Amino acid sequence: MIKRALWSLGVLSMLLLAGCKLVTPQTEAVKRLFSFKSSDQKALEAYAWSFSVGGAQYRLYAMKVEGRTVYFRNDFGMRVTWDGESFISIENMPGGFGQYASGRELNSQGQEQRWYSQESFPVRRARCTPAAEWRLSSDRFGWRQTCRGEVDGVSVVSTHVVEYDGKSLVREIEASVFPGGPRFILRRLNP
Amino acid sequence: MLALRSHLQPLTVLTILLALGLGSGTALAQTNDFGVGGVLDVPSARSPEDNTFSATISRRDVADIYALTYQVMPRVEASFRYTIFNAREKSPIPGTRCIANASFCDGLRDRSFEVKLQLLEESDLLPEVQVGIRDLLGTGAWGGEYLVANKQFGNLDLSVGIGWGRFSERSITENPLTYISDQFGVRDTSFGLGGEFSVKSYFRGSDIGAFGSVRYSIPQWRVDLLAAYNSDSYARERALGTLDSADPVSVGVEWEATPGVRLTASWQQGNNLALKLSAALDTGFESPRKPPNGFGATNSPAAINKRDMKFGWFPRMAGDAEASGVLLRALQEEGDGVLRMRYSNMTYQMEADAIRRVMDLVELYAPRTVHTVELTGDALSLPTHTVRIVRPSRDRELTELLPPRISIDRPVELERPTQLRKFKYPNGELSVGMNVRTYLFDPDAPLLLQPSINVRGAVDFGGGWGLDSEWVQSLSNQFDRITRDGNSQLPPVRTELKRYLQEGESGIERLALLRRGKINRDLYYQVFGGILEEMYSGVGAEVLWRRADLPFAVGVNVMAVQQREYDKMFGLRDYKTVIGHVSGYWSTGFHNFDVVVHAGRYLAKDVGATLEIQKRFANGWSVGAFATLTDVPFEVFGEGSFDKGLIFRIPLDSYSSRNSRGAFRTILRSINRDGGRMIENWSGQLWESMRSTHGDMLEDSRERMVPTND
Repeated sequence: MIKRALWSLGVLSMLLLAGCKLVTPQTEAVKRLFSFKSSDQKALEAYAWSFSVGGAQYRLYAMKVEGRTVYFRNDFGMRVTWDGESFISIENMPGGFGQYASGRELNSQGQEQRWYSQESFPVRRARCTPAAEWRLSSDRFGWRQTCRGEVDGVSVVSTHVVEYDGKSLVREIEASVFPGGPRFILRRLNP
Repeated sequence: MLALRSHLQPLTVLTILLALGLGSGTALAQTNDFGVGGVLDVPSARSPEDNTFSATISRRDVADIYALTYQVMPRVEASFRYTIFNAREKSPIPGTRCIANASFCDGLRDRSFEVKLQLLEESDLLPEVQVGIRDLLGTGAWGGEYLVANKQFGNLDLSVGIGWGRFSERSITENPLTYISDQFGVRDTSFGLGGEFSVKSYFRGSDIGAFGSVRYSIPQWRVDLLAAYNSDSYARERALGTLDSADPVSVGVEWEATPGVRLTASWQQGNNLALKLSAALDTGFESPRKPPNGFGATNSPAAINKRDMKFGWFPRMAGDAEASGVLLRALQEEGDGVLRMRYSNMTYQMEADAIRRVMDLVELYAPRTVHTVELTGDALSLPTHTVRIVRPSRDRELTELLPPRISIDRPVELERPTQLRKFKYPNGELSVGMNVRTYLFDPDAPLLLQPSINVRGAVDFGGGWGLDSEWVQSLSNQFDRITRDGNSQLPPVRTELKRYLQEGESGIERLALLRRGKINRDLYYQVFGGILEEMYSGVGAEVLWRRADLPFAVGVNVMAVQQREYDKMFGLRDYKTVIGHVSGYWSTGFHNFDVVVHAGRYLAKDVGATLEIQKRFANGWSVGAFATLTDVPFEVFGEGSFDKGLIFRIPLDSYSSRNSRGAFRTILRSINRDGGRMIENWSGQLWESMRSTHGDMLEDSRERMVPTND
């Protein structure tokens, strides 16, 4: 009895090992065969993006496109809007980030600049260079621009980078939400 | 404030150790039936990579073997094994069965310890050569030594060796070492109480034998074909009737079921089917960084506290930090752009990941006027270290050009904090978890189990005062099957375990009031009293001098303890004593080894010293061994001769997608005796608790502390 228990425990552990190692391609394929996602969920996955900042990562879905502006949201009410160059609004991001908005305005010299508004923080401003194209290969190209401003009396720089794939579809969007702030990255999850 | 938290404990020591393949950092270990590098039932000159930990179970007619093996250094492999000889209870007398320890049967339960050393590394011309001792400290049941060489030819790995002891049963010639001294011709077969080095038997005997093996790999099938010729004729097992005959040739096939997990089926000694399962893990793996708990698409969003919004960036940052498992206790803003914070890592296995989380939030919230951040962290709520980080530039190119500027130092106290996280006292935490206690290596019952619910409570009264408690509620147990008594010549300070297990299946495991604090910047103390552990109540104190920037520390502890009643409630028995130790701690920096020496008086009033050697990694893993020698003579100590065992600390976040500080720490003793025993979990507790915040651990993971542009 004791030996049986000992042996069974060992064998069970090993089976658990083999069974739980479901990261192999074969088992992943089996898992997909038995995926019980609804057809709506499956359709939604085609529009899934990951949105990451500061080590945290969220899943967003591209819900609407109006001209160059894309509206993303997820099932717990987080909303992100991208105007084709930068993030112009972020709402309900988990934690204390608060409501965020950004836009364009003319400064006293008549030059276009961006403004950045975040709940309880002073409005920040920056001027961005025109977008400059870059190309690494036929399926890796895009544009980037540099924005300079002054935050808390300190001169800071940030960049906006957009990368396209071989079908000229956006693969990744990288932008600081205000000059000197951390980078937010939106990355398309499906090819 | 009372927080209810559930925690998952590993089901058993064995299960967790075998579950190596579930965790991060799987490794390749081609073990033989004995758990060391080899093929079927013979050793080879192959060993896994440094820091590989493997568990092996093999089942043969001769014996079932359970082995834990560790690649201690690139050239040193060590293995502990437990053998149940004649596990199928085959009787040599036709018509009878080997039940109730029949004297004519092989019913041996044996513990043995094997060591292999690499003498020569394989090159284009030369083979890899290793030397090994199969039963270094045991009873000699597996006694044998060998010198073995391996050479790889494409997918074919050939191995040839010569052996002494059991390996010489199929003799090829006389022992060549007798040319050095005639003493090598005589093999001492008296092993006394076991547990001692049997120097007079190693590499001795009149003859030697030759063995060899072949391993042919078919990588596309993840299969190896195996064949072995064994010079061990299993004379002992044939004499006891376990085997009728023993052909020297065995063949088998090994399949890598999943990375790190291997299954072998073989036909051995020409007459029996054998199975073997093994799993391996690299204990030194680089732990993957995980997203902060509470922030992510699959988790509920951390609550936004609207009320705090108007108070500015620090409450926002502190709220996010707390939601993701780092308590920001205080902040001090200096006019010169230096931001000082006191933090507590509540969640992250690696201190560097907690620091990284704070730095991520600094980037998100702190004003750009802050150019340097000083983070003072703690262990057991006592400040242990300060990490000073020059804030990375937001200019991407510049950040990539400049390496992160980080310095690690002794803790700096915040003298004039401008923001404080206020706590209501008392506050506490209650955790409820499942546990399965194991009772191992009893010859009559090698494995007995007790599933239980463990309820742990901790109360913080403020000012360094706290209460630590644990109740164990048994769900069922097999401990009533234990029949052996300790039979000790010393005061039975531990060998009455049977009575505690049987009469105190549910009870108080710990209920201690304690106070912790610092005497000065580098001197830490704790005083405590109450029910300290399963068998003892008492009062005690510990003082530790340590500096985060130095590799050594010194500690002293003294405890006056009294044995508890077997029912594990509040009653006390008559036996009482005072124990105390002076301890020296050294993180050597050599292959991650920590060396600890405790010298002093033990529970049975014996005097001596304990040597602990552990390999400790920033990912939370540690593997080590200890031995205690006291003034108790070996014959008085009893079986095993002196107290010794293995130490494991297994970080639970390796088995989860979430961050967790949880770890399973256990000591595996082959024999439970009375000599050289301390109070469990209290002696040396300050050092152990602060170890992950020591300078070398932080230095090893400094790259993880700084937000990067990935």
